[in-house]
Amino acid sequence: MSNGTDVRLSTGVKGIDEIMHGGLIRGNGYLLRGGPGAGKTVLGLHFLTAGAARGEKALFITLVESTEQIRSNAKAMGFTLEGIDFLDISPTKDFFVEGQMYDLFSPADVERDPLTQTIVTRVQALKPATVFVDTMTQFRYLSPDLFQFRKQVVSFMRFLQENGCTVLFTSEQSAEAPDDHLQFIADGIIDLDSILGLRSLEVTKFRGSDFRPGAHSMRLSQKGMEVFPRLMPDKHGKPYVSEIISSGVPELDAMLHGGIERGTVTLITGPCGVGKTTLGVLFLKEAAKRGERSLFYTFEESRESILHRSETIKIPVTSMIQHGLFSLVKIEPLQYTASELTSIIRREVEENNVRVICLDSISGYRLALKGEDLITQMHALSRYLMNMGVTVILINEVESITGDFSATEVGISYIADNIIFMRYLEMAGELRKSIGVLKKRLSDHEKLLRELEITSQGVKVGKPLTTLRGILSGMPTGLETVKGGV
Amino acid sequence: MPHSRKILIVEHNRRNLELITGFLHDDGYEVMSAATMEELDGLLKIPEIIGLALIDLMGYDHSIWERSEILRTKGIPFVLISPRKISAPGHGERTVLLKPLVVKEMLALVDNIFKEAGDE
Repeated sequence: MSNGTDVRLSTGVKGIDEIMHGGLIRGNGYLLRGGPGAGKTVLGLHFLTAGAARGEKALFITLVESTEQIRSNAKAMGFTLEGIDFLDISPTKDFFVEGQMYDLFSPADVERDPLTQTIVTRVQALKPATVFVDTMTQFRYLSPDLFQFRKQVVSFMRFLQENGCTVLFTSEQSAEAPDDHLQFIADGIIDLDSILGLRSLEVTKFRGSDFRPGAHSMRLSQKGMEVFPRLMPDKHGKPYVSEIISSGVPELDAMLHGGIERGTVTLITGPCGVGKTTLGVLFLKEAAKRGERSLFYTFEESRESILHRSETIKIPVTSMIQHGLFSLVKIEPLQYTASELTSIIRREVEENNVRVICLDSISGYRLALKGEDLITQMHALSRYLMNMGVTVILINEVESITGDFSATEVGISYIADNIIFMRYLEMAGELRKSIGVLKKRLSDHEKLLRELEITSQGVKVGKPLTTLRGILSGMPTGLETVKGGV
Repeated sequence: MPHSRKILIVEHNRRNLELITGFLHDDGYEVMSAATMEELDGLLKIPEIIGLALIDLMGYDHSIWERSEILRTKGIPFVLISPRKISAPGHGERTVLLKPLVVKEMLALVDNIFKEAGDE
């Protein structure tokens, strides 16, 4: 049903426009599918509001809900409905109260013609550019058979198209009235879904255009509908200077042969309390020194706790925040889906020029965020950030305090360009800490382990632990006789 | 298409009556109606103006058969309308129409009955 003119029309929802490569194609008809409460009417209101905002005439044809109900619900979501006309052909109360029910003829004989005439008259009088029909399924009940239904819908769509309308129409699929026919007729299909409280939107058909496939996270709130397109890392990129970024600790920089490269992913891994978060904040402190904005997302530890801990070891996070160079954000459990967080991070990168991002921690990310394929999504996010020249620091907690060594426990080491690991050592009944570099993709690195100390004076990295062996086991022994520790 | 005689509709449901009256009017017929047995009895006293009766059985008891017998004896053709199939009704009706009626088919039947009456 394409009229050949590829002029994009906003759906009124930024995320959907992005998924549909700019929006709907003007003059075409799109099917909006979804169960009760899926957000069909909300999207319809966004679509018409966007049309009205462009100064075009917008028409809402309602066959089920009354205009009053729609107005009241729309108002609660902040839609002004200015410039939107309503054609209310929903049943009035008279049908029930005043004995308007009948059984002598089928609705197809009684109601279809007057209804069609009402629509035709209104469309010809108003000449709207955007039309939302809620719901097309109603016509199925007014058609004696599927053939006539299909013919009627095709004819109706053609009529609207010839009158210059771009149409969004809904369906209600059920066993008695499946919407397969509407799917064939429509120029595009937008599916709204909700599984276990997770809302999603998927475009499954779009004649005359490419689109971003797959289910995209969606949120319905007092602000209406927000859609968070699934990230396609390779679609994004930004030229940046490949340079070495210092940790601010000369000994650690020496271990990293200068530091970490801009636009890489660094995994800082180790058991709890060993100093992973502190090490992550160190890189952000250095970013602030260079005048770069950085972001720290904490999924487990509170914001206050990190601020306090950092200040006590002479990392001036409060001052960094005051200068607008550092943001410390606590993500509450189940506050966002991974796609939503990705969209927030994208905004920070693309609009606020954030250059270094730390996620603390990977297990917290997996626990706090809603949705599936979290590690895949983290991978996509990391790839996107790398393409944008953003330096990523991922904090990973391993459960074992000492004992057999493993870099990570969630199979994410392949994401990382650099892996810095931290270990506890038990030496003469005392717990000490060590640090090492396991992997550095873009350059060589020191293969020796060093002792790590975090004191009120800051982070100290000692000399290489060349006199010990078995450090990775957590219980090292001296190459000769260890005296006085390391 | 003016007709000298009217169509009597025996219909309990007001909306059904409005609809069928509307369709028959649009096709050029004059219609009179009875919703109760009393109203029907009143109209059966002037059978000469009734060209055809359409009786919706829904909402009436067995006493409707006594009235159909009157129609039969007076030679007034009548059609029964039923929500379900009636096996061998045998009350002298021309036919039994099942709900929901298809408007075009109903009008064609009515036209035919009047045509036959005119041919006789």
